Amino acid sequence: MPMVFDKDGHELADVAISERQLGVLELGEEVVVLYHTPQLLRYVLGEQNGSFMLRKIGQHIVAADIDGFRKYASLQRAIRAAQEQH
Amino acid sequence: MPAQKLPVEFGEWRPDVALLDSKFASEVENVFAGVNSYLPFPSLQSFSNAVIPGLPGACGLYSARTLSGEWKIYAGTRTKLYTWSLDTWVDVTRTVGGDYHVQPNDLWMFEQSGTHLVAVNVNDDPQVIDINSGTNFDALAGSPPRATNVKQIGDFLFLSGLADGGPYNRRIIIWSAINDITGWIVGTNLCDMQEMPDGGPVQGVAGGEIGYVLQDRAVRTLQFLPGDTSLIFSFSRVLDDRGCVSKYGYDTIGNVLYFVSEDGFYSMTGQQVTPIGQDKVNEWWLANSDLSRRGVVHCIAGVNKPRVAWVYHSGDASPMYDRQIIFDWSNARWARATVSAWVWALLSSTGIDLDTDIPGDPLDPDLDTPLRPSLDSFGYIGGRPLIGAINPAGLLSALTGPNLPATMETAEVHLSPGMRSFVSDAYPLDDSRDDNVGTVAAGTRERLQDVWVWEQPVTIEITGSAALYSSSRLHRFRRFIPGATVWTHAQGVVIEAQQDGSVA
Repeated sequence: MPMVFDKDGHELADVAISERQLGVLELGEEVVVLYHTPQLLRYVLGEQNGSFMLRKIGQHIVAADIDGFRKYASLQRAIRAAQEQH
Repeated sequence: MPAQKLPVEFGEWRPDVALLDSKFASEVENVFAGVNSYLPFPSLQSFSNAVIPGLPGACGLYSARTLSGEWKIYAGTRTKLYTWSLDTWVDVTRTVGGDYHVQPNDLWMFEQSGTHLVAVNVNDDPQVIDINSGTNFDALAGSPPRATNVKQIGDFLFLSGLADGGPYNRRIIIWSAINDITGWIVGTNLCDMQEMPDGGPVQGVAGGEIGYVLQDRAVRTLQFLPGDTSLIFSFSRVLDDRGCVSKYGYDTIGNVLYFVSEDGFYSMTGQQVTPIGQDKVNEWWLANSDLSRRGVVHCIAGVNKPRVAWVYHSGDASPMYDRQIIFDWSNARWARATVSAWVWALLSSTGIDLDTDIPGDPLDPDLDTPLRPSLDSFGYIGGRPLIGAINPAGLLSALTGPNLPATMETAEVHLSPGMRSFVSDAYPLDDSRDDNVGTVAAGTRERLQDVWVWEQPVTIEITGSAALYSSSRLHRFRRFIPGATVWTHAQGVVIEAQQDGSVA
């Protein structure tokens, strides 16, 4: 999973990014990531949704909206943990 | 009483209804059902002499379209995937991971998504190839689960019939990120999964803008909710305690779903369910199909004619699909055929060029032969819809060959009410154009309580009639048209009959 950085080059978190979105980032374009709590886990994790943008600067994938990205990374960790438990 | 000439039409094939003095036929074979006639059923004609490697075991067939509009045919066996290249099969199996593991009686299912073709079977990771430039299949990125079926619904690729394990089970379906078949991170870019709480395992997903989830004992509609990034799709159960008995036994035409259930055939449009096989063919089909392989009955919806066909096994001794039952949705009539093939699919003809001669290919004759298509023929372009198959010899084939031997039957008639009738001859009402125009047989019984006795088929003479010389109270007539005969319509027979003596 690629590491995502803030605009100052600090590591934020590593997250899964689809092959297609990685390809778009390689082309120097921005991608919008939408996120939501999966339906099957809503009763465990509550309902969350939002979006943030990623772009590639040099060798780094950078999140423009750090708060939005952190919520997403946190939700993804919670999803993985919940899937392993259930 | 002088002899009379009486037209007797071939009845609609409805073997499930009581045949006591009814207007229906109990038997037809190798015909399509027209509105007032039966039509010939063509045989499978091979494209070339190239045998697909790995027989027996051809178990997948699909036609995909390139960016330039050309069609490419793909096929699968239990261990390999192939593409058709003019006159031979080219191995496009993955280069990493070894042979595939399709189980006997299972099929590869394919779906085109943009420029990619996705192939699934429940024992291997989903595979993908670039239709325009790909040389081999590869694992679909994003680690999607293994699946029995794959379907593009709107901007999403759905996987269903999932292999048990991890967060997945057979009651769950999963869909990709929007417009991204490499996005399988649930909760990201609208990728998510849905577990059906009841109704049994999911057999598959069908449809276009309106989708259907077919379960073992339920059918649900699925509707995309634009702008709703939480639910994404809404699911509504529209059929309870009845679903699709086969993981391949459904297809859609427009928004109309056709499927085979435990008790026969159904269509569904949104919330409207129609038992299309009830009182027609359901009981016959249940009695004449292999119970142990009802779970792999395959439905194919044609696009060039208003027909839906289910291919199935007639018995446990059939090594491959050997029967077809066909529903014509324009006139709600059924027919059936007997053609064997390893796997069936809706194909499109591939284009042919003027430079390449494919030996033995009837669609690509030499330029100097009188049979070659005209230079502005559509045949050079390809893309004509075809019902295709891998025939028993392993050859890529389509239903474009000479007509199969056909059997049609009239309804039961009581020609002289209360009395016996002597039928001297029968004149077929069809346009079979051949010296060998076949036979007519009379079926007789004296009372409704008797079983039918079929007399020997009588050859049609040069007069166009068959001399039957049959005496009975009740009659039926069967028309047999030999294979390879050219004909377009068959409506019935005109019989010459007169009142005969009575039986004490």
